[in-house]
Amino acid sequence: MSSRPVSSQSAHRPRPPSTSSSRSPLEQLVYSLVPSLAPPRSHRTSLDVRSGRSSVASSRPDSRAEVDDVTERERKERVKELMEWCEEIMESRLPSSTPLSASTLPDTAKRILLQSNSRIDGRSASRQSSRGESSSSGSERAMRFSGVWNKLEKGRLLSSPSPHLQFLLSLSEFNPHNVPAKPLSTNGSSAASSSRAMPPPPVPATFPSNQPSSSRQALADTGSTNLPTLDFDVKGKSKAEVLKAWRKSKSQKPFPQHLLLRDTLYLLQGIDGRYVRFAIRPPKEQNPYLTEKGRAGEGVGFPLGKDGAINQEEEGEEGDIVGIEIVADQPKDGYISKPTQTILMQLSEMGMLYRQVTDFISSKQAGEGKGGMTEQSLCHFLHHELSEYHRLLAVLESQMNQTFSDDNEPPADGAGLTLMRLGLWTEEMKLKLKQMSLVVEEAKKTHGGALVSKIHKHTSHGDPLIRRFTDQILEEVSKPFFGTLQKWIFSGDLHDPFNEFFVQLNPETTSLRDHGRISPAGDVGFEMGIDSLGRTDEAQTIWEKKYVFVKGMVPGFVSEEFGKKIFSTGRSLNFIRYSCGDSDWIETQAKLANAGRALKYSDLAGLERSIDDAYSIASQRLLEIFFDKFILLEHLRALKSYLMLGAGDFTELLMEALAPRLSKPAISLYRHHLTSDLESAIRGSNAQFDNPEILKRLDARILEYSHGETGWDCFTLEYKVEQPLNTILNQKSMLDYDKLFNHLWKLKRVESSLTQNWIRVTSSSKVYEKLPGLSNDWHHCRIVQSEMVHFLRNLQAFYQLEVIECSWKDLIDFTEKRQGDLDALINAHREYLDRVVKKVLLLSNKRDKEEILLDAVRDALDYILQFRDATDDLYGWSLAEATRLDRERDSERGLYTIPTTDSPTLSLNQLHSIKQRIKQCSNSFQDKLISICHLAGSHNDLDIRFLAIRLAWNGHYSLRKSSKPHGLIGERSSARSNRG
Amino acid sequence: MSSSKDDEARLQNARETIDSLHDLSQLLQTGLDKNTLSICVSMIEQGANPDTLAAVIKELRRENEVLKAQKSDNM
Repeated sequence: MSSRPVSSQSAHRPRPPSTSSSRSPLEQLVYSLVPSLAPPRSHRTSLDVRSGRSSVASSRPDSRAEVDDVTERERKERVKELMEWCEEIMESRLPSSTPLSASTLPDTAKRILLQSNSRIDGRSASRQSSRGESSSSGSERAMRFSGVWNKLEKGRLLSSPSPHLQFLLSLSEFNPHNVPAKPLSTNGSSAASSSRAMPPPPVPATFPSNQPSSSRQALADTGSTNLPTLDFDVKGKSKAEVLKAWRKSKSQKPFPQHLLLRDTLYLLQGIDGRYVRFAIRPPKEQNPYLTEKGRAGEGVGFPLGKDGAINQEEEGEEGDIVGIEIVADQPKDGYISKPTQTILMQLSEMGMLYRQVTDFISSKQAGEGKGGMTEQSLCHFLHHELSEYHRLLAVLESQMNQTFSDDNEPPADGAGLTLMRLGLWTEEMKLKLKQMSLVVEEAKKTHGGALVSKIHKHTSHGDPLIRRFTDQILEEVSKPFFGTLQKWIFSGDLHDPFNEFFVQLNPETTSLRDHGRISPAGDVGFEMGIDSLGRTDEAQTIWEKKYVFVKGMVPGFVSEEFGKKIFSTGRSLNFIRYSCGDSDWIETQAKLANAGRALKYSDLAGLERSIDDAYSIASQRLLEIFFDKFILLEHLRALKSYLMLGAGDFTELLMEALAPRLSKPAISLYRHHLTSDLESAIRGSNAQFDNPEILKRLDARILEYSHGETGWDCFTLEYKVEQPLNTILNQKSMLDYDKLFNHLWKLKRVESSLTQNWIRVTSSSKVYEKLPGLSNDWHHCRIVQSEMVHFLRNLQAFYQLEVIECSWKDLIDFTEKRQGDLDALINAHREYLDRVVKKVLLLSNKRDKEEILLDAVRDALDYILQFRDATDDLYGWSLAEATRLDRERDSERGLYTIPTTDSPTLSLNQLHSIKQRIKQCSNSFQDKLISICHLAGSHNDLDIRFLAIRLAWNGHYSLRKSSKPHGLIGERSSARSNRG
Repeated sequence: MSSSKDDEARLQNARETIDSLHDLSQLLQTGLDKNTLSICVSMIEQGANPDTLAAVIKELRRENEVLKAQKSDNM
């Protein structure tokens, strides 16, 4: 900056002596412009006329003839003074603000001329017309300008026309920089047009002296919404000064800054200032903004919009106050410029945010809302942050006091407090406050884990400052969460007085449990069943329903899968503790304590690790307890061998022992008989070597029966499970086991009766073979019988080998791995049982037809039983007939016999009906078998389709079905029997 | 002779230039008369800074106003 004045000086200085006139051009200029100071005319001026400055002489006023010495001296002094002043200006020039190149200068001039159109015309018309210039339009002037400019550029005399143009432009009345120096225009009556005609009101007009130039620039940019500012400045007068002068001309003083600052500091604390105050409180109903804000305030995404609303409102209020002051105290208080108002507005936003935050804190402390530890820690954090804020305010205040301690005189640049600085220094705090108020807004709506996850969302904010701040908030806010988490995953205790954790006690459970406990106690009788069922219900709910997983409360930094893990960990521990009564609990806890360090938000990786550890330890422990202490596997095996009739010897013995009793009507059954039979079956079979723990759970039971049912229909074998075990072997599973047992038991019973029947038929074949005309019937019986045996054998083999054992193997494979938690184990067992049930009961996927195949099999079994009865009858008849024939033979031989009472015709009738029954049964059975094969062959389960192939491996049934229509089978068999 | 002719041509040229500058000055409504303008043009030609010169003009005008005011006061 300094180089240029020097160069211009050096260029300027040597010249004056070289001019032809003895008077320096500056002096001439002085005389020309201030004619009253011109010296009395001298002859020298005539020379000037000839050297191209002729007009100087002519324009000079006539000097007085008689010169007063005193006045002459005065004049000379004055001129000298003026010359010095002018030279000083020339030398100590202000920084040049005209970096314009020569090329843009004419454009600028043209633009100015174009813009001059409206505003100059009116007021300077008189002046123009006196000079013979019509007040033509701006465009016309611009055109004329370009013509003259072209001519000048072509002329070779001037070294360069641009400095001249620059000079002229600087003096031009059209130049907007020059206007404010003149008295205010009067042409614009409306406020809008006058404000347009006015210069851009630059902000620093109020405090120009201590504003750094850069900030002044920035403010001018933000503050002016006016004409496009020209790039060059008028030398010697900054915009600020110009505006100041204008203000002065309107006799408006800038508002004292220290008062504003003080008020601002109040505003920052959310307190109304003396001159500026918040406009939120007083007019609750009248203010249209308020109601609008109230509505908008409930929305989530408009905190900024809300701020804006408040600010607007505040601006209005502020404006009101200023206006009043101007009326009352105009000379004293002065004018607050619009940009300053803007700054005040921006600063006061902080006060509003502060109010929000403090309101929240006080409302929480007053005990409103749900409370909760998360809120408490949030409040603690906010307190901490606000005390930081207070500290900052205190510093600012002391700064302000320092600044304005002496005479309200603003100190030199770079020191002291200004509104701009206030804005700058509180910028960071403002962001923090904004973030805090955001969090506070959220805290009003949510609580606990949901709040934590809401806050966590802000951690992905783009601004590192906010990110860091949010991390700090989270660190504090998540403390109670981690406290609860620690308790939960390390000791299985749910310490959550305000329901903030994502694991919560199930409200239904307590009532359910109470119910389960009370009702069996009330009506427990000799029937143990109800009791055991009641207990099953209870234990099942402890695991499944004691705690619930609340998805919405899982904090954002914990994934849901991870949350499930946490949930399971605590649940396992809780279960170990309360339901299993584990004596090794302390050991587990010690292990867990090693695994767990202090959990913090900042150490998420460590958190995951320790939770993983805790999870695996707890799950392992729980599985161990189940497998080792509660010998779960033994129980499952027992269920398989006793309820699914896997233990053949036991089943056989039981069947033998029970058969005579069960054939009687159900009403004659007594439980103690059944239990004693069961006992003897156990004693007699390999079951006696089984764990007594298991054997004592086996029990025989009579189901509810209706009139006419036999023992077979209502007998069932029961396996009792209790407390921890029934988590896995729950009620539903036991029902499934029951179903399986019933079906298999029936199958077994049919099989054994058929076997006995076969034995009888086969062993006494010698007897009836002698009987005439029956061999064909017997042959037919044997064929059908073997068909039945084939069917039963295959069905049983399928059940035992393909269904039960295969599923069992899968279950064993799973348990050997010992992975996952109790839930996984439950699921594995459930899967195993489902598979077995589905295949044993031959359930199909089709709706309403699930049991169609099962029904067919049951029907077939019934037919087998009927057939057996019929065959027994036939056997009895044959025996009787044989005896009769023997007797006849004896009497022929002359031996004495007991005379027969039955007539042969009657017995022949009997024979006929027996034959009929046999035929019917065998036909029905075969029909059923065909349909079974057909149904099983088209079953969607592949294993069951294989069963169909097994049953009819040589295509016998399908052949028979396709070759013979339904009705013909009976004829065929009868024909066969007739043939024999 | 030739030199005088040259001089004359130059003078003519200068007059034309001043005239056109005066035109410009009137276009831009600077309020300068021809005499003052020619002084200023010569000063700028000699290397004076146009901006500062403009400032000086403004100062002098103000001074003139002040003096006028004084005179009127005296009277």
